[in-house]
Amino acid sequence: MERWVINDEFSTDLDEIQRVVVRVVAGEVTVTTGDTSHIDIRRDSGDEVHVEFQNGTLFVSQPDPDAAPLERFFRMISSGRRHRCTVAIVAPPSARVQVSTVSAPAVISGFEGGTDVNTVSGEITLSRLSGELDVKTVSGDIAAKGIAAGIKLKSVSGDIAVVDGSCRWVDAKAVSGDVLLDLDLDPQGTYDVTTVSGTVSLRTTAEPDLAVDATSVSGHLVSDFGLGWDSRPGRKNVSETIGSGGARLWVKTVSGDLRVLSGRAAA
Amino acid sequence: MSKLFGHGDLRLWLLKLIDDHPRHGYDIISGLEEQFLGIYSPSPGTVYPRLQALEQEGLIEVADEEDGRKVYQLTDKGRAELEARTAELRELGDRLAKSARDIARDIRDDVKSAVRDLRAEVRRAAVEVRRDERRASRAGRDASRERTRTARVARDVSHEVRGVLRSLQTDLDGFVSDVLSAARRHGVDRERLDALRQALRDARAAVVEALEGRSKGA
Repeated sequence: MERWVINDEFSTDLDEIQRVVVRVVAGEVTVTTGDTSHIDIRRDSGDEVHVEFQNGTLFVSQPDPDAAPLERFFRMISSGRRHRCTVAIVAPPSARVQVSTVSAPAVISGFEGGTDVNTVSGEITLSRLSGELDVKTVSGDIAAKGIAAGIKLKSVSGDIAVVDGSCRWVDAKAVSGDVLLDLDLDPQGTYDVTTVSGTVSLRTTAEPDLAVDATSVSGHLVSDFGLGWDSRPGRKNVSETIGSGGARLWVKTVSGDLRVLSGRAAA
Repeated sequence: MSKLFGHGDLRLWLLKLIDDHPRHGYDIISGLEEQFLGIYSPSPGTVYPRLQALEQEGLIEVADEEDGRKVYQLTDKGRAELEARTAELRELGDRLAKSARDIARDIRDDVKSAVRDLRAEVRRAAVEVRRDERRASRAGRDASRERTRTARVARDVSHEVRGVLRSLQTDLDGFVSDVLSAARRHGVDRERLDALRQALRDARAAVVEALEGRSKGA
């Protein structure tokens, strides 16, 4: 096992990383791919940054992960804003990546091995990921491009946008955040979106095979495919098939609008 | 990403890479790619002519050949040049290291601008669809208003027609009762009946002709 405690700057090549685990408060986290595994870490303020590398797992943490839970908790809340570091990791595409931050934004790109991201207010940027994706945020926005995997996204007030995706399934839940999906639909794909007040938009190709099941209390429906609410007092729903069905879109909102649009160039 | 290297920077960086260990051109290209996470990948057309120039200047030489590829190493002159430019090289190294960090920023900018474009496009499309729907419903409303108006006109017309027919009926009734009372008063024989029928036929023909002529004229 290799272990480093970093007070200022640190940079080294590593043996092949198989799993990346980052737990930091503020600052910046970037995890990208390359043939040579490499870390580049700078402590900007707060406690030392702890780095551990064992059996292919790289563990980066600020504050100290080995502090007693209660102490860690007090350090977090008493001086949460003080802990700040800049973490840049290069790992092989096959690596599994797990990142948790409080306010630090994270950029993760190029991985096939599955990616989990948790943040309170950090902005999350994801690109070219083909392993399953699980992202949770409170107020940070999620922006993803070129995702080819099942994705599970949860947000309270952050906006969710998936551009240029070819996801086999999407499970997106937001409270007030908007959910915007720009997808090539999988013929057996299921796309499940729930919001309270956030607008749900799906943009896909001009002639999709898609079954739409949506309910809303007061949201508006806008569609290029001639979909319209079947309104009853206190509830609107639509259950229609575009083309020959196949892929399924399930949407539930309270006051959020629903847009089902064409306009995506056919693959 | 060619802005990564300013004028003459790539030449210096190539010397540095070859100084690290002897390499061939392909090795240098893939090394650069790796260093910049695939975002900067120099083309062979960028790298090979520069290697040739360095060889002609006597800064590098062919140390070995591997599968037909020339493996270059520094000459003494090359090492001297690199030593003379140490400060410059360190500065370039720092700048490139920062560029590598900038790559993540490039990725973020790329994804963000894609999201921004998409959001604007979807908003525009939604507005357009809504406008089309509004236009369609307005057209629908106009059509139904037109229908209402036509129906009202038809109703008015038929009302008028009924009035005309009613007065015509009154006239006809008067005509019939006048004829009958005249016949009763003066008596009718067969001869007069024939004349009367003839007059009625003529009158009917004239009336029908008047009606038809009027409807034709209208």
